[in-house]
Amino acid sequence: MAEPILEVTALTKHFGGLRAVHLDLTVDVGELRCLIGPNGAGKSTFFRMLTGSMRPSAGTVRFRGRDITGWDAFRVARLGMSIKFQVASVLEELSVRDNLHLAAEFRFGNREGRRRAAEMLEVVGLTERADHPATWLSHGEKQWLEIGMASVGEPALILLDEPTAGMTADEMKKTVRLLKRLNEAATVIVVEHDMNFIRMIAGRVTVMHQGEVFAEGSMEEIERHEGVRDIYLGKGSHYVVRR
Amino acid sequence: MNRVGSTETLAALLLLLPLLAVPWAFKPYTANVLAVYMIYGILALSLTLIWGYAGIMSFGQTAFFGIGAYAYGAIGLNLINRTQQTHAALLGGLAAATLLAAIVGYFMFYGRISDVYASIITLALTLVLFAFAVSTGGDEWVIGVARFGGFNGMFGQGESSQNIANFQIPPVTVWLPGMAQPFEFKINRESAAGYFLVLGASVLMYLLVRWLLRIRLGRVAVGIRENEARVASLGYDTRFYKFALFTIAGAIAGLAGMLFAAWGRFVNPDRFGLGFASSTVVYVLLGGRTSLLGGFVGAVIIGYLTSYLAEFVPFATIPGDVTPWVKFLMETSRRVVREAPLLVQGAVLVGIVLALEGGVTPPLSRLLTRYRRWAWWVLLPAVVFYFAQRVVCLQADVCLF
Repeated sequence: MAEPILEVTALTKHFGGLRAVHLDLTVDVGELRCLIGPNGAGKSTFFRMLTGSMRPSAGTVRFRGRDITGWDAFRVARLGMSIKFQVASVLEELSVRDNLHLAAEFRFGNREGRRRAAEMLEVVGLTERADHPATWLSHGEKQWLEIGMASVGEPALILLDEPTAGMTADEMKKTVRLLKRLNEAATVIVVEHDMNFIRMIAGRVTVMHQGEVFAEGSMEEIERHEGVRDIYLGKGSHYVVRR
Repeated sequence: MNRVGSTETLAALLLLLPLLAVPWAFKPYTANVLAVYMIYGILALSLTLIWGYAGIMSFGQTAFFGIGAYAYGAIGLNLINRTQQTHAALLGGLAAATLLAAIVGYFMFYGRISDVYASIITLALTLVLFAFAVSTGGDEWVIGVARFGGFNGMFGQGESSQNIANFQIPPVTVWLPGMAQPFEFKINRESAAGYFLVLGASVLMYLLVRWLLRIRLGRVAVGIRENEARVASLGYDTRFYKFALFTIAGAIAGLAGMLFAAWGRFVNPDRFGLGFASSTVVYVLLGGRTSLLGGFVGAVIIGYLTSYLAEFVPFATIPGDVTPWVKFLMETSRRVVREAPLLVQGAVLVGIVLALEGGVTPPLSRLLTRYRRWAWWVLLPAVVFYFAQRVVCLQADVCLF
């Protein structure tokens, strides 16, 4: 068995007296991993520590065989990890094409980057909007654009923080197809709330609760898991499970 | 001919033809005043680059302007009588400004200071330099023959400060091998070389910044303005890009400072002062933060507004038959304008900024694009005709005003 692409050991983040995150996690090459958990479970904090935009209080992160704990964001990105942030973070004033070009240029240079950006426009279905400023895009389109930006540089690992937030059912189906396509070339970790989406993806699911890994398994196993039902799926929260 | 190209050609012609004709179409005074506005425009351009495009507000861009001016002055004063040229002074001024910007930029960006503080740090920098420059009045602040002169500004002296043979900072003077004598870039009745030097520098700096914004450096800069975390997580070391841009902007500001010292043949601590620092911000705001011409447009508008308001007297004579309260209003408005041109200037400024968020240049260029055909066939010929008749009447000395 090959070495896992991501190996997180006792990664901890304290905010004052509050321990927001404390977890171990291993992700294998080529996986499509779903990370779920109620609000405040520490998913986004965990992502921020992975990508270097937040320093962990303790613990280590090994990525592609290297200890990247405490690295700067740009170095982590150069090693092949990319992220779509929770809040859609596209470069609003730049055109859709330039957004993708800037993302591709780093790996492939100016000319090749332009070609790759045009290809990615097709993949995320924004060719017709290529020359519009990103700020004109709808919420869903921004999400796709950012997913495109995160994947155009051919990263080894793509982190997607709530890629379908605020999407219609049709948009979500499109996103699922997009994710599966990205997963052919890269390992993907998705944070999501929407259970339908998780079911459609049908990857391995890790449940986080109060900053720790609570359960792990296939979606069927998770849905059968009593504790998970209690903390997350069943308890009259606004995450309605549609069957 | 494509749309954008055609409008750009048109704008370039509309601006450059009159500017090139100014020395022949108007008296030297106009060229002299326009030159200093363009120098301020270059300074504003450097702020446009770092603020408008990279999103880093440098309130104290004048620090680099002033350092450039002082360094040019100090080196120029010392070398002009020995070498008859100011090559070293130009290099030294540019180097001083660039180095200062690089040092400050390094600590700001690699020290992980939030960009919000960049404005405060740069403002503090320029004010510290102001305080320093003010306190250089004593005899110990003399480098060679260059006396810093505290509040009075920099000048050259002979054997001692008591010597009558004080002299001014030299104009840009070039003496290359093969030239019979040094060439001075001055603006007076005989020569407009100084004007063309400033015009040339403006065009060159404009083209430089335009090019910078087209290469990766500029694209990443705009990305940083829009969302720095996003750009960093694409793999760009944003600290380096910010550092590089800040240093380049500092160098451009330094160049403007040197031109200023050479133009006025003088520099005093006011160039570091709060007033000048905020004026520069105002030029950029008024002209348009994301328009490369904006700084120049803002500098010219404010410059003319200031000198026009200084001469403008509303209701200089009040008719005797008006009612007392109208008379009161007339008198008050006259007083306000007379006593406080800055107040009026500020009000005009606030009005323009409130009405046109992006400054005056973008709407102007939109107008030009929309009425391109009119501009080509009516405006451009009219401008050319006006300047042609100015040139002819000035040569014949029959101009009416």
